[in-house]
Formats: sequence, structure tokens, C-alpha cells
Amino acid sequence: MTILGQLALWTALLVGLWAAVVGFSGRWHGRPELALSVTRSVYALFAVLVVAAISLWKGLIVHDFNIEYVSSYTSRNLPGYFIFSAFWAGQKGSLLFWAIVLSMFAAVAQWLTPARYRALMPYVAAVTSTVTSFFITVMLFAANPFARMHFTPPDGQGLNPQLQNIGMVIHPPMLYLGYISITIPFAFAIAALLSRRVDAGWLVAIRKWTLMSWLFLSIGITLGMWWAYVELGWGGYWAWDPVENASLLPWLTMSAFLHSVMIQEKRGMLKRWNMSLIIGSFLLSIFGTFITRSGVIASVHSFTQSSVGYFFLGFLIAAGVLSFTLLYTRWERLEPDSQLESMVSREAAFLFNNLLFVGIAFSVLWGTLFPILSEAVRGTKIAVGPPFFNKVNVPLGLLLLGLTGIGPLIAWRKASTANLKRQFAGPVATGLAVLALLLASGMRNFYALMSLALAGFVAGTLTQEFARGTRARARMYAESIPIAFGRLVARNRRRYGGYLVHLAMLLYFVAFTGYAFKTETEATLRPGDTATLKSAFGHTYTFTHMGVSQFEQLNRVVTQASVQVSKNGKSIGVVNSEKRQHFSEPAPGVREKSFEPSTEVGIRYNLQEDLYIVYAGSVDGTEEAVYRFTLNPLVVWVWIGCLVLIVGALVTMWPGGVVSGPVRRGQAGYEVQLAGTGQ
Amino acid sequence: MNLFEIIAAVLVALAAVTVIIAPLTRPGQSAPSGADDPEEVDDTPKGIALAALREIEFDRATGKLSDEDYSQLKTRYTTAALAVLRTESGAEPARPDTTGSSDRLAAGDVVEAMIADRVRRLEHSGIRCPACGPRPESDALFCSGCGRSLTVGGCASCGTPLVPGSRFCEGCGTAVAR
Amino acid sequence: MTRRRAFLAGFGGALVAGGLRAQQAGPDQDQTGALRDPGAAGRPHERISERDNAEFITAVEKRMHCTCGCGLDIYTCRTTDFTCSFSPVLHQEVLALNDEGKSADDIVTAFVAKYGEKVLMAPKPVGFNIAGYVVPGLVILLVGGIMFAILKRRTRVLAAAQAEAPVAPPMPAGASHAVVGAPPASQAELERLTREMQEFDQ
Repeated sequence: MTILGQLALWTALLVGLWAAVVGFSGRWHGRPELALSVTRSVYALFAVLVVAAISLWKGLIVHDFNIEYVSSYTSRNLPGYFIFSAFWAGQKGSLLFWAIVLSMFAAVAQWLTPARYRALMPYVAAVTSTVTSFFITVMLFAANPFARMHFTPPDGQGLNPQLQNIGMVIHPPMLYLGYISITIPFAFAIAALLSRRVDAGWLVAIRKWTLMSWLFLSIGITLGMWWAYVELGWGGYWAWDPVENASLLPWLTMSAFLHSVMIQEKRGMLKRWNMSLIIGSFLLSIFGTFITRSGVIASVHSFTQSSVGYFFLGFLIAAGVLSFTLLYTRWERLEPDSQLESMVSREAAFLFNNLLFVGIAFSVLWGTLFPILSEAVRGTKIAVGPPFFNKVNVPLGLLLLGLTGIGPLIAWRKASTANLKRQFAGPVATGLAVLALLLASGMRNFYALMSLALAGFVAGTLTQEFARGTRARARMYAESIPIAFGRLVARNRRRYGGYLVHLAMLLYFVAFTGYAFKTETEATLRPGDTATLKSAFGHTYTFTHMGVSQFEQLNRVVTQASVQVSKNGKSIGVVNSEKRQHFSEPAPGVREKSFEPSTEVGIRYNLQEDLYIVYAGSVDGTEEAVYRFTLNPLVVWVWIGCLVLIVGALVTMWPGGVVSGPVRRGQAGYEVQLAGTGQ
Repeated sequence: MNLFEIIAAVLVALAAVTVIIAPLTRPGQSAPSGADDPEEVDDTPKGIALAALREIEFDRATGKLSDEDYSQLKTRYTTAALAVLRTESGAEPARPDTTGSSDRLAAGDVVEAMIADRVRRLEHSGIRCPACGPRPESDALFCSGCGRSLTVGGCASCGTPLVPGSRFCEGCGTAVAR
Repeated sequence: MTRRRAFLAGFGGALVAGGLRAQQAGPDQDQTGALRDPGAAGRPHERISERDNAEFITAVEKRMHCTCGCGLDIYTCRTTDFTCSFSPVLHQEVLALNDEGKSADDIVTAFVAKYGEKVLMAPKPVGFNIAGYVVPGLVILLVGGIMFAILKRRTRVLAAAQAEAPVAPPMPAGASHAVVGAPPASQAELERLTREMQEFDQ
């Protein structure tokens, strides 16, 4: 169905251009039928792209290997869900995925945005349609997923074994959802600027969207970490790879926005800054795509090099210039309503929080681009790896962690010294106690000490906030403690949901700190041989090699090495690590090896430390096996942190508290009176 | 097979064009309306003012605000909240009747529906004060609640209808003469 | 052949490394069976020697990139990517240079001379590279400093202005426009506000 898909793409392009041209022209002012047409175009765009997507999926499912994309990323014996996810496994398919998700978000935005923002919506439609049209253009002119070949191979090349993992089925879409949904807040920002309705209205309209993109980005990034941890086999989850950095950049600027937007809502300050952050986040999400797809910077994530990069670079520059020019022309309208009153206030803490978020974003961007800069200036190729990024960013990250504990303790507008003392006493004492405890237990790693002590400080802050809030509420409303706690959170969902997210960040930092204490060793073992390893927590693990077995499973031959593990002399079970040799079956009974054998790590999760066992290979094709044993402290808290983060974000986003009851009835009463007086 | 696909594609394109063009054949059709969900309390001027007041109560109770700062802010926010309440409606809000019999409740629902209908029509009539919401006086030049100008007319430069309270025309950016 | 080599290795018993103690389960060589399909188990792996695990060697290797383009350091690559043909060779080079009695820094210098500066995991902080390390921090300090100075002055000016003429202080956004010249509150209004507050809090 490539012809249908192809023509659907062309139709989608025309529909998108119509919405963009009419929407931007502003001719729909005073002509509601034209505005309706623009909105309808957004829905039509989504529908037409669905047709294109179905065409591609159909090709994947029926194994139409004449389609270049299908032949490149699937094979006959690929398990079904990987055929489904092969849709976004390659460059071309993921472009289509991007376009269809964006058009879906755009349609949802048109559909769900309350009628009071009517005056913004055609502009919003124009922006989303322009971006969608850009992706369709790239597909049609540079990376067509429907391109056919001159011959039909008997079987496809199959999916890279490392992508044959459940993490890869959900990590890219999640990250894409985050990247793509940033377009909606961006579209509202541009619409607000174009329509000159730059009051707080557009901020309210995008609040849920910004939180949602941020949540998707957070989940997507964490899933990427999880995938790297379980699949890549080096026992870590973050390598400061350019593409990882690129996903972190919009996350950082969005995090900054989520904080600074509160100042605008409460005080009417930072309007220009918030506009810039939204525009910047969108540009960074495009920049991330550019990095991934251009091959400009060497990265393990890169798709194959292609001309697609130039399209993205051009779009990035054009979008940046146009957006910031527009912002400049509306500069005067974005006058702040009020001024900062004291340097010791929540507002000031937020300002410095923003400085750090954006500063870290700059620092990561700087590091990512530094090899290019260096080559341009000195003509020498250099590489920047984890040691570089850690040296530059760990101190900044710790400062940010500290602010997480400081900010909530300071009142809005201003705080007095006496109050500050009362607020900080508990948390600071907690932090110092943690520090003393760690020093006493013999820890001497400076950054680890700082990180954990700060984590203690932040934990103190959070506990105090919840405890004092609950007590205050119980006192003020004469409620029992559990009810007061429940209502406290329910009536201040944004604040206490935000605190949960802070707790999640705290867990992430603790987990990151654990990385400094990993222990590992390699060993060659014959069945029955044992190796021992001592962990940072002082446990002694004994690994006994039990043997190697081989069997067939799905589309692969599995070589499984089993290790029996004892902790402090007590058996805790068997851990298996595998080599997987994938094969393809171009014809029934015919088998061809595809790809080199991949390694599956054996992991035993534990709240303290993970066992991470890699079967490196066999000696001379016997059961004598080479292993790498790694003890990874605290890794599991990254994943727990992510769950806490999701809960916190959901609490924050939970709908409710709408105008009802007293307010609505108040207006109703007013109208009754009016009818009575005969007006 | 190819022919079938081409036909299908043409049909898809035709359907898309029909959906998009259809509104243009009926000029004056009402603008697209999104979901009509009510505004969240915290985003109304009253909500913001009350939330500010509640926040300082809380900040004092949890020990973040000193008594001196509290009383200063309390005066400020109270003034602000009262101003919002004054502009919101001239009259006291009717108290919801929670003790009525089922008959009275049913009658109340009918009244509620009539009121909601009236509010909706008022909202669509375009007489709306930026500060006080929909106004009952369909021919008012100024808001009876706060005295703002409610002039609805065309922009002197391009003719685009002006939203009450706007300082610039949303069509061309010309400053609105007052 | 295979059996014999395994047998010899058994006598060698070269399994003792830093932090690691390996024991022989017994002289029963027959436990070590051959794999049915050795090709499916990846490339044949060399036995791990004491030196492969030596802290000195791994520390040096962690300072340098594998040249295969994976982005990992030599140690991580050779113990992770078992299809990489570069990292084992680089590992042998490190061992050879160590045999010559070179120090860690000397080995790294030798690698830089051979493979170029890009072999380093992080650029040496000399010359232009210093910019790579310090620019972000400097920019943050500079912007933060300027921000602090400007805000400090503004808050002082604002405080002075408020002290002189305590009129119409700033209001929360959204309410600010309606308060200028507001009449004083009546008792009834205050009561209503209290009631609204109670409703708002429920």
C-alpha cells in the first residue's frame, strides 16, 4: 500500500500548508467559518496521516520486503511486537511517527482547549501544522518510508538485537512524546505573541501540556537509562553521549519553566523569560532531533548519516530567528506587573534555580559542541567523555540539589532572619547528621559526601514541609492529622505534587552517588569454580559457575551461562546471563545467522545493590566461561525515583478545583436578581 | 491493485478537502468551540486573590512569615481580594439551598438550567467586561460593576471587531483610541 | 586439543586477581563439557589473567577511548562489547607499554602520540581546552553576579520608594488592576471575605 501511503503524505502536506497559510494570515479574524476550516484542517491532517501510518504498518506486517524500510528493519521471524515497534526503529519510520503524534497532539489541543481561548486556536493550528508539514516535507524529499527497491529480497535484514528489547519498544515513543508535545506549548506561546494576547491566559491554557511534556521527557529519559542498563552491559545508565545530552537539554529548560511560571502566575514577573524558555525548549527539542539524525556529532545513537540533517538545521535556524524576532516585536507588551521585593524570598530562590537549570543546560550544550568548537579553533580532534561532563556538571547539579532544599523554606516576597533560622534548623541538622554518620562509617569521597549530605538536607526540608503543613492545617481547621494531611495535599496539589517530584530528584541523586562505589571483577570459571567479590556495603558475594546450556528461543539460539550466588555465605539464587545468536529464515528450513551474537546481562535487583553478571564468552567453545561480575550500589533507586516522579506529576496535574459551587451559584444569583428587575 | 490504491488515495484526499472546505460554503457559521469546561477556581481573579490570602495564613502558621511581614501582607492582600469581590458582583451571592425537599431541588434545577442558558447567551452576546465577566446591560457603554469602557466597535484602521478592554487591535496592532 | 588446553589451564590455575579469589572445584576435568554450537556463543574468549584485572591497568584504560567509535573507554569496551576487535588490541598495547615499565601518564602520552588527542576520555586542561572546563562555570557566575547586583539595587530602590510613599503596593497578578484608589473595607465586606475564604478552603 505504498502508493496510498505516498499519496496520503502529499495530501497531508497540502492540508498542513492550508492550515499554516490561512492560520498565519490572520484572515480568519471576524470570519468564523475560516477559523472553523483551519481547525478542521488539523483534524483532517491527523486522519490523513493515520492512513499513511496504516499503510506503513501494513507493509511491515505482510513482510513486503520490496519496501526498503521494511527490508532494512524487519525479518520474517521477528516477533510481532518488534514488527510493530519497527515503525520507529529507523530514521524514516520515526519521522512518520513524529508527524503523526504531533498531528494527534495538535488535534487534541484543538479539541480540548476551552472555548475562552478561541482567539488563539487558529494561530496554534498554524504553528502545529507548519511543524508537521516540515516533517512531511523531510519524508517526501529526503527520507521516504514508502520508497521501494528494484528487487525483492527473500528476507529482511532484521532488527538490531540491541533494539529487540521491551525497553526499546517503549523508550523511543516516550521520549518522542516528550519532545513532540513541547510543540503545543510553543504553539500557544507563538499564538499569544501573534494575537498580542500575552496576559496570563495562554499560560493557564498550556499548564497541563508543559507538565505532560516534562513528564514524558522524564519517563523517556529514565527508560533510556533503564534500557542502557539492562541491554548494553557496561553496568551504567548514563554516558553523556551527545544524544543523551540532547534529550536532557529540553528537560532542563522545561524544568526551569515549570518553576519560573509560578512567579508569572503569582506576581506577573518574568513574562519575557518564560516566553524565551518555551521557545528555547522547542528549539532544543528540534536540536536534539538534528543531533540524532545528522551524524554531525559521533554518537552510538545516530541513525545513518543522511541529508536529513540539513533540513533540520535549516528548520532550526528559521524557527529560532522567526520566533525570537516575533518575541522582540512584542517586547513592550511583556512588561512585568510587579518587582522583586527582597533578595531573600521565594522569587529570588526561583531566579537562581532558573539560572542553574539554564546554566546546566548551557554547560551540557557547551560540552556537547566543544569537540566541534575545538576542531574549528585548533584543528585538533578531541573527545569529551563522562570525566569531562562530571567534572563540570556535578558541582552545578549539587548546587541545584541544595536549592531544592532551600527554596521551599523561604516565604514569597520576603523572609525575616528569625523565621529563616526556625525554618532551616531542622533540615540543616538532618544534613549534618547524615554527613557525620557517613564520615564515621569511613566514606571519604568528597562529592559523594556532599551529595548525600545535601540529600539529607532536602529530605529534612520535605519532611518538615509536609509535617508543619499538616499540623498547621489540623490546627486551623480543627481536623484530625490524617484528614488534615489528605486535604493539605488535595487542596494544594501543585505544591505537594511538586514536593513529591523533589523527593524523586533526591532519589535520583542518591542513586547517582551510588555509581561512584561500584565494584567489579572479571574471572574465568569452569563449572564448579567460584569467584568472590566484596561490595561497598561490606557484603561478600560468592559466585559459583554452574554451567552453560544452549537452546532455541523465538528467532535466536541462546547460550545461557548460570551462576549460583551466595551473599555472606547464604545462597540467594541463580542468575543467568546469555549470548543470543539471532538468525533469519529466508525460506522454510533455511537459516542464516544475522548480526553478531549479542549479550544479555543477568541482573538481580536489590534495594542496596544490584548483582550485574555478564557472560563475556566461552574459552575454546567449552563450558569454561569468562564472566564480569559487577556490584552496582543503589541503582534501583533511579527506577523507584522515576515512579515517585510519575506519582508527583500526576498529583500536580490531577484535574479538579473548577469554578463550581459558590462561585457559579454566585453568578446565578446575580442573574436571578436581574431577571426580577426586568432587565 | 495499484488502481485500487490510487482510488482509495483520491477518496481520502476528497474527504479531507470536503471536511476543510465545508465551513466556507456557509459563511457566518459559529466559530469552532473547544471543550466548554469551566475555568479552574485558582485561575479566576478571585481564586488568585483568595489563594494569596490563604498562602500567607499558611506561611505564618508554618513559621515562614514573621508576624510583622504577615500583617503587612495581610493588609495588602485583603485590599486586593475585596477589590476583586466588589468587581465580581454588586450583590451578595445567593446561598445554595441545601436543605430543600426533592421537589424544590427539581424546580431549582430548572431555574439553574435557565440561568445557565442566560449566562451562555450573555457570554456569546459579546458584552463582557474584562474584569467582571458577562454584563447584563446589552447596550452598556461602561461596565456597571467597575466602570470600564465596554465599547465594542470596529478597529479604526482595519475594521476588525474589538474585544472589550483591548488596548490594541488584534487584527493590525493599531492602538485603540479611548 | 580443546580438552588438553583446558587441562593445562587447570594446572595453571591463573584465576587470582585483586579482590578476587578463585578456587578449583577439583581436578575433575570432565565437568567442562564442549558447547554444541560454539559459534552461537560469541567469539572464543581468552582466559582472564591477573593483569587483565589489575587496578593499574584498568585505571589507565579508563582514561582512554576505544578507537572503534563506541564512545566507551578501553576497559569498558573490552569487557562489554565482545564484538569489538579494537579494544583487545588496545588492551595488549597497554600491557606491552606497562611491560616496558612505563608509568600511567607515560602510557597515556604514548597513546596520544599514536592515536591523537581524541583518544583521551576528557581533554587535558591545557591551552584552549581550559575554556571547555571553565566557560560554563564562568558564564553562570558572571550572569548570576550581574543578576544579583541588578536585583539587589532594584529591591533597595523599591524598598526606599515604599518607605517614602506607601501607596498602592504591588498586588498578585490578576488582581492588581482593580485596586487603585479602593475605598476602605466595610465590616460586611470583611465578613463576606471570611466566608469566601472558608468556602474556598473546603
